[in-house]
Amino acid sequence: MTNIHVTVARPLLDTDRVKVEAFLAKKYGEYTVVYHVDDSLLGGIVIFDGEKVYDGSLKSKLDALKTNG
Amino acid sequence: MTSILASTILGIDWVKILMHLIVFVVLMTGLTFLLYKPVLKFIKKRQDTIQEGLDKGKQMQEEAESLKAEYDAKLAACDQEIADKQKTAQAELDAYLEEQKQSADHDIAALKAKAQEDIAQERQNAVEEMRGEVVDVAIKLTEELLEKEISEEDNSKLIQDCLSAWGGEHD
Repeated sequence: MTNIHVTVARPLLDTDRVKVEAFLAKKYGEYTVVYHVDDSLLGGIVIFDGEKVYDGSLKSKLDALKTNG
Repeated sequence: MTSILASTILGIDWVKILMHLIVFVVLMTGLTFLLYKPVLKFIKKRQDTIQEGLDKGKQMQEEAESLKAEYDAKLAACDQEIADKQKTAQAELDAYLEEQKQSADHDIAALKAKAQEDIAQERQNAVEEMRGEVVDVAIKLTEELLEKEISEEDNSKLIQDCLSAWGGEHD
């Protein structure tokens, strides 16, 4: 069973939570998920499955802009 | 005999005159052989010696003039050689100075080009640095704006787009 950590900038709406759970089920099958709230992300979502990080946060997009400047 | 010896004509003692003449002739003859000819010979010899000396002197003078002419010619040749070598040395010096000048001009041009290149690079670096600072400020402002302005709907849309990109489904 895969342990998933999901971090968002603000608590997920119910509709968003359903979509996230559907995504995780399709991708990992059996899993456990822990939700975290970090307002420094500004928006979007970050998923960590123990091996790989899926970073869709606004902060990472702005950091990429800064780097590619 | 006495009468002959003492005869006079017109009061002149011609015998004595004759005797004097005979003595004179004998004396002159003797002087000629004893004095005149040797003296003449001596004078001739001396004259020959003097002439020989004069001839020798003339010959030496001619030789000296010839040597002088030869030395004058050599001096002139040396002077010409010196002038030629001075001319050659001056030409070589001029060529060397011209070469050094061209080398210095080349070095100056290279330094100038390098300086301009450095200035352009510094300018580029300053522009990049300023651009980075502008980007940092813009991003900071954007972060502050997003923190305040992003709506639930926008956030949901963002999450939905991410899940789609990562292979998720969205309605």
